[in-house]
Amino acid sequence: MENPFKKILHNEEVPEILREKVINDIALIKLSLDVADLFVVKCPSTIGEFIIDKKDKNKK
Amino acid sequence: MKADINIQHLSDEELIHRIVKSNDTHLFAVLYDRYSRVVYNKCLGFANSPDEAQDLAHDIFIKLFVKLRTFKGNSKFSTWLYSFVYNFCVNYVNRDKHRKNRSIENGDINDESYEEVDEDTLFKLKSDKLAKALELIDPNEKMILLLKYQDDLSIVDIQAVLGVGASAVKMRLKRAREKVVHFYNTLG
Repeated sequence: MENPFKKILHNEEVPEILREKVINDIALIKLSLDVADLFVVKCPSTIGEFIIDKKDKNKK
Repeated sequence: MKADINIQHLSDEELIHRIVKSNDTHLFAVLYDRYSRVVYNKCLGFANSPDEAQDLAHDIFIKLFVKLRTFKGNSKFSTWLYSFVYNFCVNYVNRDKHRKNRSIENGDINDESYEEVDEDTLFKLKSDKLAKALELIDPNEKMILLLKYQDDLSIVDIQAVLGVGASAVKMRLKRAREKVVHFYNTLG
């Protein structure tokens, strides 16, 4: 017996333009994540270390 | 070039591990190429037009990139992805006001008892009429029927996808079968 659920499954080609749209948007999200990481995590951490270093030198 | 060939041969799980670690768009493109056809065709089953299906597939891949780290490898990636796609599509359909009103109407007869339906009866249905009947039932019921009879997921896999026990899965499947056949018969 043939399963009718298999017959209603679509089998179309994916439009080419979709790949480009998805990858471009993913690249934009990645850029946003990297910029956020730079300003929220890396910059404060570098400034923090710089201040601690300076304080240590002043103590000496 | 050699690296490209190696990436193509990575398992889904290894590929995902690398994407999560690096957020690399090139690696995500490989995952897209593996699953875009499946996702797009699933979307066609829930959307009103190819353009709508394209938008739906686009949004699914964007959300997938953000949520990929929530894949813990408890089931096969394809099983997890089916659940991800179906949940997105079901939410989309429920947001659609027109269809929402229709499912509320259907909800009025939710407590009606339907005739019991076995799998043999289900497999004797005509596919074009079945597609119309699937549009009339609740999207969650459509999802469970497609998971079981179109994607051939086992009860255990569906348990993992829905996060409910085996008896609840069997009960939902039974109700969904009865309901789809009920609407199928009303189509005349």
